[in-house]
Amino acid sequence: MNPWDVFTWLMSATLGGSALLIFGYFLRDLPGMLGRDEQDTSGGVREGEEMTDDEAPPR
Amino acid sequence: MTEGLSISHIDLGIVVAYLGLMLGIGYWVFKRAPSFEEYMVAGRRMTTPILICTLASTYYGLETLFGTSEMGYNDGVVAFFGYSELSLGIYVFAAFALSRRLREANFTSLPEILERHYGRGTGAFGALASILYSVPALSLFALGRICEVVFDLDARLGALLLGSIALLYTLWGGFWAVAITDTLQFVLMCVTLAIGIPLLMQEVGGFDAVAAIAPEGYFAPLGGMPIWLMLAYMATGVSILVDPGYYQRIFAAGSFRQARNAMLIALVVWGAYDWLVTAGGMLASAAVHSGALPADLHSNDALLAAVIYALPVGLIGIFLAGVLATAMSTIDSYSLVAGANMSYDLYRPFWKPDASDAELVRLTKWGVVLAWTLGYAMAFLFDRILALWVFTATLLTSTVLVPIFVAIFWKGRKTAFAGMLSCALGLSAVVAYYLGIQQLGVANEVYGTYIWSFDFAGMHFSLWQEYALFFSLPMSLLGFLLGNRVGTPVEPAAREQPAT
Repeated sequence: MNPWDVFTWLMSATLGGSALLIFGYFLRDLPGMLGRDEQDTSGGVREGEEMTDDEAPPR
Repeated sequence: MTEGLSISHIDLGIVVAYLGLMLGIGYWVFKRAPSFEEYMVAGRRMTTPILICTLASTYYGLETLFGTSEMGYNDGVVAFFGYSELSLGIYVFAAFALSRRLREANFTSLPEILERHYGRGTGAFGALASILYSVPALSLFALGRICEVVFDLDARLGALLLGSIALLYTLWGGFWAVAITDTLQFVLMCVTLAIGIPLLMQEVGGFDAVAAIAPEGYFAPLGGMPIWLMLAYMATGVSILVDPGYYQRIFAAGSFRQARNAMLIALVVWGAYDWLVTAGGMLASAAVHSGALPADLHSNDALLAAVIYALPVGLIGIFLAGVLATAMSTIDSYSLVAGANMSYDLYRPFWKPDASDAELVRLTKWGVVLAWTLGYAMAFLFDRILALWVFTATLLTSTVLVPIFVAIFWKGRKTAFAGMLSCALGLSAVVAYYLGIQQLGVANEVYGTYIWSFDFAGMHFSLWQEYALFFSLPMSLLGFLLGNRVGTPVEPAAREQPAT
């Protein structure tokens, strides 16, 4: 097989596979992202948030 | 008008279902953007997967899909190695150097960085340059062109109909709607290309068939490209360092790590995408040579025609939805950025510093409509729409790159006049350079640009309009250094709050 054919198959697998994998993780995160409104307004700590109070938004 | 391609009812049905889904998502998130921060940066709680999708689909528009494939069709693998991948180093720098500093400072927009560090005047410069860059003229033009080629629909009508769908869901749901639709659009873009190109490769006999008809240098990684042209192509990647859409996604991240990781993973996706688009163009040339595609096929339409030729019914509809998605994901994102620039970066600091969230959201929506309308008008007013986009990208980079990088990376003295003069000289240098080359040079129809050739000290030089950044960025830096000698430094306390 021509090496460019092999490269193209590899890139296709990379693109298609990573897109589906990322989409799977997106679906996992979506309810948490959209459902966190109430937690945020009640003062809950955001998952993955690393800023301290001193670095809070100026607005 | 070009006669449309032969598309089955099943495929048309899939395209209509896709458009309906985009509207449905916009309506679904309608009530989820009550505050300006929610509307503009999705409450700053986006995670890595959605950031990857919205980054990849926004920054890669139809100009990549059709521009890179056209270059692959005409020039071979240089489209990948010489054109697309030279910018990757800049993207890695953006991921590591910008993510943390931008995210942790909690900015909301790119011009706000200038406003906080240099005052309202410099912020206004940044806002105007960002609006010009973000007006979605190129994407609306390309959307219309696809409607013409594929559906045999008038380009203006096609851009109006499909562009309006992107406008509507952006107005309804703000950045949430943009990011969620971007995610679906990302999956469509990637999966259909990942299926379509191998099928096309099988159909035309692989790269052995391409090699059999390829001209000399078709498989040479750098294809004899002049060093200055390579640098100019690489310089196009510099625009991501001040791309307001990219900044918006960093601001929307839950943490800087999520923004950085998203950028690094997106690089892998972009690399694979670039190769498949290049390969699609090259394989299309073999399909033309074998008679499977018409001999008079325009190189710009090569990828579209070749993939539709290779795909079975059903998958064609998904591929076309992916192509439309590529344009719509860019239209929605940049319309929103331009709208926010009008409300948050111009109206708020100059007219109403204490504007309420509801007022800012309402004005942003009007700004989105205005930006979209401006883009639609420009799309069909100008003949050289791609050249116009390159000009606005150069203008934005020349105007704001130096003052923004100094603001982010340098802790020393910074005066308001330094920001203003840096913006003004960078902007003036671009305009002067473009006008000068247009006057002194000649139009080159092949590259769609102006080139001024001259001899100096026994050597021959060719200056392209695309080389503008090599002149404007030093001018902008000079403006900063000179301006920084005038006036008092902006007090650190004043930098913590937007100037009012």
